[in-house]
Amino acid sequence: MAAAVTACRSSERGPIVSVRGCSAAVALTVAALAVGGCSNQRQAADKPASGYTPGVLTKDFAGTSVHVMMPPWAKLPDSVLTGFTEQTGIKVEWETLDYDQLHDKIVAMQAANTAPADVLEMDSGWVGQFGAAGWDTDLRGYLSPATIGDAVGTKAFSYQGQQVGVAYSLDFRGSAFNMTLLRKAGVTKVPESYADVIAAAKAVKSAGLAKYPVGFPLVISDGSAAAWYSLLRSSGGQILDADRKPALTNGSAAVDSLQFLRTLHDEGLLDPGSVQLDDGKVDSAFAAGQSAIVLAESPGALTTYASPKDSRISKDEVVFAHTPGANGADGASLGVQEALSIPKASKHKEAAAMLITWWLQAGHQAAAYTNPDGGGGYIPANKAALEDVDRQGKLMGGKQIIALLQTIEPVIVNGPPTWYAKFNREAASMVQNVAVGRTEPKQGVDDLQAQVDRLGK
Amino acid sequence: MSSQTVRAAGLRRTGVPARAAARRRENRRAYLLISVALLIIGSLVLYPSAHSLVGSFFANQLGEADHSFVGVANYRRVLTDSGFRTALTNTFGYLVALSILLFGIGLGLATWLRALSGRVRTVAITLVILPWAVPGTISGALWALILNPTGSGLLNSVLTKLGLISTNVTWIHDPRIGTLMIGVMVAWSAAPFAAIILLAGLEGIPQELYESAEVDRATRWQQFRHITLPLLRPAIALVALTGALSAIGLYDQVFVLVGNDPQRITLTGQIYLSAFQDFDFGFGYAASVLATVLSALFAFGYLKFVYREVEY
Repeated sequence: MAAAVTACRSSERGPIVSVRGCSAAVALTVAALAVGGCSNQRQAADKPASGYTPGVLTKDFAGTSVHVMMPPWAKLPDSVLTGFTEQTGIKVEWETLDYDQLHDKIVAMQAANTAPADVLEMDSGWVGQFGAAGWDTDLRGYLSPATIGDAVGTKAFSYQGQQVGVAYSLDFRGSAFNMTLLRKAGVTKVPESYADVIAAAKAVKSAGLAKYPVGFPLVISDGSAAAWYSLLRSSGGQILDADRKPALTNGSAAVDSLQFLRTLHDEGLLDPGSVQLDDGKVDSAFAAGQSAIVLAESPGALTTYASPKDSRISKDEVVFAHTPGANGADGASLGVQEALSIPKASKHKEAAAMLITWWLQAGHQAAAYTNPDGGGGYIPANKAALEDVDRQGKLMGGKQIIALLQTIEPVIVNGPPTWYAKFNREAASMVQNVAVGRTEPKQGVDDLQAQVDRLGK
Repeated sequence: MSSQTVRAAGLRRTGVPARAAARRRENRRAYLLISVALLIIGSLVLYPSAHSLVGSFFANQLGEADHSFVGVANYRRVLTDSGFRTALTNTFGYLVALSILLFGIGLGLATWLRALSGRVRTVAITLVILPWAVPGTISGALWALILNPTGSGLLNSVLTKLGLISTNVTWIHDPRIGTLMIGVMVAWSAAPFAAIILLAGLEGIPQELYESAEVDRATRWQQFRHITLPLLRPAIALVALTGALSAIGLYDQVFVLVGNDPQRITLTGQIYLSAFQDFDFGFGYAASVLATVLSALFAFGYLKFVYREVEY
């Protein structure tokens, strides 16, 4: 402000603008900002418009455009979208963003009380933060109980009694094994324990089939943290227990999983360049036949591996199985369900809710999974859709996936806390440090446990 | 009083209001123009700066009801935070690497460009300036391909084929060279600007000074040390300041290259994480105020100790 007043006063020709005039200009500035600030504070009410009935698709909102913002894998076939527009008259504008960009854009815009879109991705790891911020609409008033109830995993999107998201994807972490490569190396059984993985990887390496047989992301990202949580849950470990008490040092699961990664790295079974590889790049290396095992990945990648266009291993036998644990594949599988949400700042909540209702119908969820052009290969959260896809024999991984779905548990029982994002980053950083030998496994776990203690206070 | 004098006095009497009216019109126009500038500066610079400064003295964390005045507690938290200290150390590392590279590459390019003439010079300047026009995210993506630590990385692939390395090098994560590699990446984008500034400085140095020095049998090094370097001080100060501010504000290129890796994170990256990932706005405000103060200190230091008015 001082600079502005100085600018007003200084002129070679003298004070051509008076201080009173400057004050008026400054007042104008402040007033304009205040008006802008006030408009930012305005949000649409969190109740549906009168006459709107949850679960009923009408033409009451015909002509409205609904903006959808989702990650690359969350797609709907064109035919499903066209059908929605024909039935409701609501147009759909679809925007696809990279997962990390998506989170950052949502946060930046929601923090400014602006709706990034009318229908948004909601990751199960974001629930604590977003719920505490109060950014998202309680969907119970906008969706029918049947729509919410039919979506498996929707419980993970409840924050303090509010339904801030409804699951559309039953994503979880398992591991992929290229049995064609493994058999060439003399490995006939799917590895179930850390020791099995190390033995199989050594066999593949010594047979000259892959320089780095195991794929595991070590870049600092949510995906890498989730990959480690998958190893942790497979060995029976947890971050917080059911009472939300720090549980990393209960038992040896955390140290065992980290020691396993260190061994893979030190034995030359894991690419040292993994420190800059995210889960997508690890999957690409597997699809290119450069590795034989991918630990802790989404079953959605199976559609890529099977596609001759995107994969060199489309004719190989790829088995998707439980992520190996310290003592075998008997722990929980990490559930990372994804949901649809409606920001409170959205101006088209009813139309957005109609789209979600349409999206989550069993037939449309099945179409999204099976349609090679429109579907992203995400496992439908709708129970009937999942059964339908399986019945048709179109579920990649088939019975194995159905069996693994029974073992799914969330990363943190009772939902992630508000500090989850920071913890995720610390965890991914610690895992990288341990894997490449900068920190010892025990020290890494102790440091992370201390961090959980600090953050939880 | 003659009639002529009366007419003149009358003119004076009617001329004063006319001039005042003209002056008011001029003032109104000036107010209008200043208001637009004030609105832009106020909304994009002053308001956010004031908001950050005020906010840095209050508790403000997502999900916490406490929004009370906390004095300098946020600053204390920032200064004792290990993440912030790492980011600060990294940023200083980038600043040093970038400053050296900017000056070295910039001066080399400027000297080369100065020796050229005609169309060759025009084409050379156009080519040199190109990397500067590349957006930070694109530059980061290009360097990510070059420095990819796996077998598909361009640099690793070339060095392996030449037989210079047998295992892939993790260029960015190697503690011995990581900082330098990031400095190289940023210098690739920023050096053209430095070269143009230094070229302008070099062109401003009168040729007669060098001719006199040659008559006095001064060596090339002596000419550089006693003529070029002192007379280039304004340009050097500007290049050094640009380098420092680029390093302190560095974010996009490093983010594209390694994400939010704490090992390589920048000051701006850490501020972003605090505010928009951890939602600790009080911490973020305090950290951004400290970054602004740091930038101001560098600007002051370079202008005070490096910059000199030069007269020929």
